[in-house]
Amino acid sequence: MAIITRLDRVLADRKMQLNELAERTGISNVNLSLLKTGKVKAVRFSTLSAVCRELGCQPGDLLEYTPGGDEQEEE
Amino acid sequence: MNKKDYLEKTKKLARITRILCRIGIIASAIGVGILAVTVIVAYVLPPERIKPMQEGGKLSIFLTDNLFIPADVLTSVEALRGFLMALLARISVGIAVFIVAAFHLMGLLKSVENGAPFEPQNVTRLRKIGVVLMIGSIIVPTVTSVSAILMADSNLLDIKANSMIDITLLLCGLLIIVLAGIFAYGARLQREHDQTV
Repeated sequence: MAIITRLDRVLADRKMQLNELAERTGISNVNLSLLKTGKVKAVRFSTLSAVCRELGCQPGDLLEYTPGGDEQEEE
Repeated sequence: MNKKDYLEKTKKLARITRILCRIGIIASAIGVGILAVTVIVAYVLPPERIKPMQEGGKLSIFLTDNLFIPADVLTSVEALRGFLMALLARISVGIAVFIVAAFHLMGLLKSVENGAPFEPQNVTRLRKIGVVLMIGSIIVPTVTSVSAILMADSNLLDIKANSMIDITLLLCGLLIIVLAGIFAYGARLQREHDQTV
């Protein structure tokens, strides 16, 4: 996948656990774990908004585009 | 009726249908079993111990749309044995088609009860049901017609057998295969939804 998530990095910077973020955002632990490990196909704006609100960050802090990731995906 | 009520009613209906399918399968299997035992007994017992229909009796049974067997034909042991065998063949094939289709339908209904109608296995189940019905649309009338012809050959009755394809069953099978394609699309949407956080 060309888009990779940096949720683990932001959580570490904020010294927050995934459980706490799940509780604050109302998003399940399972879904946040999938988001953290990059095993999702899509993210809703509402989810992104909730995570950014609780972590005090921008979407660009959480998501990163890697050129060539699409080619690897097609292979 | 709001969405939640509608879903609950759908799940309830699926559960009732699944129970009816199960009852139908058990009843059909028992019926065929009883008929099979009857046929075996009719062939095993010596002829002098079998009492065929009396002439002028009122029993009439439909074997095909064109075959109407009055009771006064079944007045010999050979005729009775042949009739029972033909009946067993015709009913067994029809019930076999029903049981296979109902078995897969029960799996589909169970997934509806669980709130996951668009799982990939349901696509496979629907395809199998459709194929079974399409095959049944040829086999069931064929067995019925062959049974009727064999009975005619045994000089029981002068009959003509036709309609080697059950069009209704064939169209139902085709429609269910189309439905399987729709469910495949639904399964793809479900997967994308599940992979979206």
